[in-house]
This record gives sequence, structure tokens and C-alpha cells, in this order.
Amino acid sequence: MNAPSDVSARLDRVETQLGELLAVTRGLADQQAAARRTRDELLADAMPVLTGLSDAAVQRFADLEARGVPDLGRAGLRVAERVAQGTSVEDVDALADSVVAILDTVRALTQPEVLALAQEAGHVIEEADEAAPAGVVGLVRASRDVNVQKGLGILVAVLRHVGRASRVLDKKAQAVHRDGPSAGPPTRRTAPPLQVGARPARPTPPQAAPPAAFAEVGDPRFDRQGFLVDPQGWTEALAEAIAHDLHLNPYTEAHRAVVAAARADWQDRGQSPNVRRLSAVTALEVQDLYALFPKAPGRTVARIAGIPKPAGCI
Amino acid sequence: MHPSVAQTPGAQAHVAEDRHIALICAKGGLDECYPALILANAARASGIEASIFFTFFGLDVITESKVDHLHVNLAGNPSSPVPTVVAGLPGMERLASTLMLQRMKQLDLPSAREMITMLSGAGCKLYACELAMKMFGLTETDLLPEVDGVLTAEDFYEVTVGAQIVFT
Repeated sequence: MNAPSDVSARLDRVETQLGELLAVTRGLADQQAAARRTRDELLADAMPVLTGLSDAAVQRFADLEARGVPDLGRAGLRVAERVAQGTSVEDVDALADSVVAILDTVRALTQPEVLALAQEAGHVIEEADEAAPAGVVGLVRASRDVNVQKGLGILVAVLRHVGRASRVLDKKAQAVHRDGPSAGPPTRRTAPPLQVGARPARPTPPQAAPPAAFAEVGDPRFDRQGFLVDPQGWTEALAEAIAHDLHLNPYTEAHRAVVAAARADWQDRGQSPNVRRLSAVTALEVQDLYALFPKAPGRTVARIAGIPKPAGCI
Repeated sequence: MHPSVAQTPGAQAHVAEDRHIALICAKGGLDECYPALILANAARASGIEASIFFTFFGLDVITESKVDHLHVNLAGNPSSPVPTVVAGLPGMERLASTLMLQRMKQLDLPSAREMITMLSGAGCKLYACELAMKMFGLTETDLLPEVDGVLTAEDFYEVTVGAQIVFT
């Protein structure tokens, strides 16, 4: 049975706890109120600024609209659409390959001097109806003017450059047509080659393991310089063996064709063909012969073909 | 040529690997320019590296507008079959040049232009002298496309390190 003192003690405790709960609740409510006040104040302060910003943005857009910039943007989008329809991925790739050349060209064309000249030319063409027609006599008279002489000099220089570039392109196109994309005539190198002690790279055949030498030193079939003593003792197999011994790997059909042509020419004319004659009978360019048989093609072909060493200076 | 190298059938029985001949062509006469061209071609045909440095009147051999019009003049040449007083008469230079060209054609010798093309194809380097180009008012566009560059004399020494230099 609880004594009344217990009950009152308990009631006191409950009262205390209720009081604490009330205090906590009151504190929370105060915090909420304070937070709301802060938010309101913030809004009140920020509102004019936000209003001002949105007004400025609207004004700006209205200006642009008046000046036609959005219309331009829409027209630009239409152009972009048309470009996307008309070009393919390959076109863009090709463009990427030439982008440096294109940028160089654009840079050259937009130099101030070039632009000034182009503008002058443009003005003159604009006023073309004011220019008097000139016959032959007029031309002669005009060529006495120093400005006309300078202009003629510029035109001649342009013609020379364009003609020269065109001839180089023609030669390249002929070489590609005849020999495939890898061949081509020698092109000018514009920078002076200042590599001290450097040697130009020679085309080296792939380094396959060379077969064991097929003949010993002093083999009576060959003379001191490695040429076959008796040309009648030549066979295709011997030719291939000599070629491998000379590190010509792989010994391809192209090599065989040149060797056969050399041997045939020797049989016709009684003298071994030199590089120039080989170029004539095989219709290969000199650089192709040097590519097939590096280092002394005339001699190398003669050794493989089992014919005497070519004589003569050319 | 080392005998053991020559006797081995499989040897590149030509020359040492790093031999390099650098020729200087300083004259533009039809007879005077050929030694450099022929020596360079023979070097390449023997597997020897070659370069030619064209200077002063040798520039005519690599100038587009002059290479097909090289002349020979026998005046003042003690080896000339024609006495100087006759060789110097008007028209004699053209006559001598025509005769020499005919003889070259009979022997099937290549023209100077063809020699330059062959040399370039054979890997011979062809250089023009910068000073001579200035003296004659030439630019790179006036030269044949086979020319590899315009060098000063110092540049020439740099690219011919270790080479035998031959003045013709």
C-alpha cells in the first residue's frame, strides 16, 4: 500500500518533468519563431535585389530581341542543321586531317597586308564600270606606270608559284597512277638540313635471319668482286641464293623482274645495263631501283643476274 | 678493296659503309659541270654517299630557266681545238655548244636536267649556295624541284662531316 508521501513525491517529480517539458517546448517554439523571423528578414532584404536582377535580364533580352540577335541565333541553328545534313562523318574526318593546313592558309590569308590588298582589289572591282577599256596601246602605256609594273610583278610571281605547284602535283599524280600510293617524285624540302654528321636514312630490307652462306671464300664460280665468272652457268636458284646472300630479303617478284630484264638486255646488247639503262628497260624510276636494290643497284643486279659488272661512267 | 671482302661471294664487295663524297660544282659550262654530276652518279652507283654543292655559275645547272641552255665556250681554253681568236667570234659559242650536244646524244649521255633527276632519284643530295643565290638574285622557286636545300658554306661543312670534299 503506497503511503501518501510516496504519491506526493511522485507527483512532485511529474510536475518537475512537466515543467521541464514545457520549458523545452517553449524553447523549441522560440527557436521556430526566431528561424521564421530570420527567413522573413532574409526574404525582405533579398526581394529588391532579385526583382532588380530579373528586371535587368528581361530588359537585356528585350534589347537583344530588338537588335535581332535571337533571330540570328535561330538562323544559325538552321544553318547548322543544313550542314549536318549535307556532311558525313568521313568529311569531318578528312577535315580534321587537314585542319592544320586549313588554319595555316586562313592565317596567311588574314594577314593585315593580304587583307589590305584584297580590299583594294575589291574596291576597284566595285567601281569597275568607271575603268576605261584599254587596247594594246593602252596596255603598253599602262606598263610604264610603276604601280602597274609592281602589280604585274606580283601577278607573275603568283603564276610562277601556282604553275610550279601544279607541275609537282602532276608528277605526283603520275607516279601514284603508275606505281601506287607509296611512290612519288622527290619533293623539295624547305628547311636546310643542319643535322651534324647525320646520314640520310636508306631503305633497309627486313632483318630476316640470313641463310648460311652458299659458297665459300675463293669459290671458283665467282671472281674477286663477286660476279659470276661464267654467265652461262646461271640459274634462277643461283640468283635467289646470291640475292639472299646479299641480304635482299624478301626477294620478291619485283626483284626477279628487274633481274630478268637485266639479263635479257645483256643477252641482246652484249653489255650489262647500268642504272640508267635498267630504268629504261624496266620502266622503273631510278629511285625505285635504289629502293629495290639499295647501295649500287647496277652492280647488285648484275651479280644476281650472273652477268658481268656494268662498265661506263653513267 | 680488302681481298677477303672481295672474294666472299656474299659480301657487299663495294666500299666501306660510311664513305661520303661531297662535290662542289662552281662552273656552269656544259663541259665544266659534268665532272661533278658524273662523279656523284658513279659514287651512288658504287654505293657511296654523295652530295653536290652548286655555287656561283654552278647554280645554272640547278636553275629551271638555265639548265637546258648550258653552253660551252672554248675561248681562252688552252686545250681547245680552236684558237682563242676564232673561238671568241660571234656565234662560235653556240656552234661549239651544238656540236658538243650532238656528240653527247650520239653517246647517249644524259642531259644536265636528266642527270639531276637521276642523281636525286639515286639519293644524292643537291644543295645551292646561299651567297651565290643572293648574288644572282635567285629564290628557291627559281631552282629545280630536286634541290634539297639552300646552304651557306658553314652549313655545307656541317652536312658533310667525314666526307671527302672535291672541288670541280
